[in-house]
Amino acid sequence: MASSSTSVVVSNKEKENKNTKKVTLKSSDGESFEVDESVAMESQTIKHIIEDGCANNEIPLPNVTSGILSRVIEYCKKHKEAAGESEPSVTSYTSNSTTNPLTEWDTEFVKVDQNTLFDLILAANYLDIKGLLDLTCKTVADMMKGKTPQEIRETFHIKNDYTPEEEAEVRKENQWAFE
Amino acid sequence: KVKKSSDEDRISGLSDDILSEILSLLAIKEAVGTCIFSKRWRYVWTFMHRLEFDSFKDFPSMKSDSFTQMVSQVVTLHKGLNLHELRILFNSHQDNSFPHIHRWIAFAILCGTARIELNLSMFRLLSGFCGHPKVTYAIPPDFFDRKNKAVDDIDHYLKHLDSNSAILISRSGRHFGVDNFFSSVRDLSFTQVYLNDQDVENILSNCTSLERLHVETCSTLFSIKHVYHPLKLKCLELFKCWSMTTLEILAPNLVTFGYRGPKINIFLKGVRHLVDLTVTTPLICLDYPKGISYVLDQFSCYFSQLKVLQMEVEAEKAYRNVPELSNLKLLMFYGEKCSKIENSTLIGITSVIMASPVLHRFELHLFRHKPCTGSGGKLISKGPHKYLKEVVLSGFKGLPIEIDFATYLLDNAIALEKMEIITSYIYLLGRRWCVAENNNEVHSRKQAQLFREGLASNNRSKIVVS
Repeated sequence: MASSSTSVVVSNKEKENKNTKKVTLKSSDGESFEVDESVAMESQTIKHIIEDGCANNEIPLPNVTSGILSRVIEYCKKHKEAAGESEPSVTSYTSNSTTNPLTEWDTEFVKVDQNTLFDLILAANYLDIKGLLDLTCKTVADMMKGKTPQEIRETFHIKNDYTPEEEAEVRKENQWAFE
Repeated sequence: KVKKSSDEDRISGLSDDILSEILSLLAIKEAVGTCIFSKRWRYVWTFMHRLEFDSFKDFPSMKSDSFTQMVSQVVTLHKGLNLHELRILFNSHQDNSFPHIHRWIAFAILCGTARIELNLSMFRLLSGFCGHPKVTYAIPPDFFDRKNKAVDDIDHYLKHLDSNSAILISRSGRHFGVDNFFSSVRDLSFTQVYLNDQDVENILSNCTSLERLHVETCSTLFSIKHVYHPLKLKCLELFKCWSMTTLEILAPNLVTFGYRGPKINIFLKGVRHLVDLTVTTPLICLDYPKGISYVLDQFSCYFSQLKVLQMEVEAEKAYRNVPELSNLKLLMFYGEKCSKIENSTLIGITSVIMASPVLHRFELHLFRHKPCTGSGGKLISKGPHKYLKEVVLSGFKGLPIEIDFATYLLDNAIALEKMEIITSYIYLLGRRWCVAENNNEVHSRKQAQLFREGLASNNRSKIVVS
């Protein structure tokens, strides 16, 4: 009995190792992250590198720091796990219109300071991860909604460098947007 | 003095591409308003991928002349690069806006916009019909025609633009062109716009990537016949085109079909992948097909492949022998201004539910229905439904017939997890769900709560009243 159960365990482990190819990603500050290839391929950029056969031991990502890379990997892992069947495209009425089961997790994921948020945007853009780019862009858009231009400038520390004449000209050009 | 990193303006450092992605998520007024932030931001909005002008939602008090000027101004300044979507919802039918509308569509064509929606409808479901338009905008006859040799492609469209846009476009001729449009357009939606048979034929023939076509309230469309070359079309929606006499298409990729119109024979050839069917019919005229029987007549051969079915409620004789809907997951019934909902209607509905063994979700949306006098007796159970998990009943007024129906579902849907009872009217406007008040809402909600309270505790927990 005992021997048969161990052999079952061993063969399962063998199966696991065969299925999960790993790939190593190296951040700009020299830290290495080993991830499942399938998770790494959530990034179209990495996917192309792997498919072109250019991924030897490590894939260097000079534009992404380790702090950001670890977050990006966390996002990809979570979303890879949750990739389920597609919903019918019809809009059926739902009072809480969340069709994405990860909405709550995503909301928590982007509760970060502005610097981190913008770093995530740049990383998502560079690594070509659509879901992450959409999520981070939406977060920034939500930070802008319902605010006056001055409030938005303050939120993002934008300096108004228009001269009064220029500003008047811009207002006139798009008058309707300021009424 | 070292700037703290938390005070840095990082947003302005993002590329135009990324910023325009962000702006495309804002309402148009807010997005264009970003031009005032700083010099860097002045023209960021002109790279936006989406332009949406919804006069009902975003500019309800704006006069139509001002609205027209606004859209034309945006079209003039927008760079026209990477524009994926142009959506205009607007209810002016003064003909002085027509040259502007030509301009907007010409612009979209030249930019190779993938998704275009032009909705000039004056109908708002609950405020009622705002009157017949005096004149209806018609698409210029050769807009979608490639073969008309008299038309010299770009120039033809350029003449519809004002001089600023025209210069911009003709200078960067590499980016723009009619070829772009015909091969890029994926989604066209026209509501209350006159198209004729030739326009639709041109669209179907020349827009080789077209995946969705939506034509609504178009009385100048009589016949669609396109059977020799298979269409790439995945979704076809023809609503309220009351003059239609013929519809025959060869569309092997069709997944969604929606129809509301006269009782005609519809031939959808080769639609092996059709999974989503919506057929709603008006109750007003006698010649028009009544509810479920027309659907059974025309589409029962597809019943076994459907995953979603949406139909109109009708007071009619109960019918049996509904072919099995072996794949149906979502069933929705609409009842607009029903003069009365009788027991036979609900028996008809339950026949369809019972013919759908794997049905997951059922929705019944009623609006402006009047209470009927009799209740006609109890619904007879046909055996339990093992899969139905979610039910939504909207426009609930607490009528005996609605209570009987809800009770029937609670008793027979043994896997039911949630029944949502909504007292407001909810309806689909285009692709968006809207809510409108039922004028007896307080009373209705009370009725719903009373109903809920009167149930056994295991059933009570399944009901949500809103």
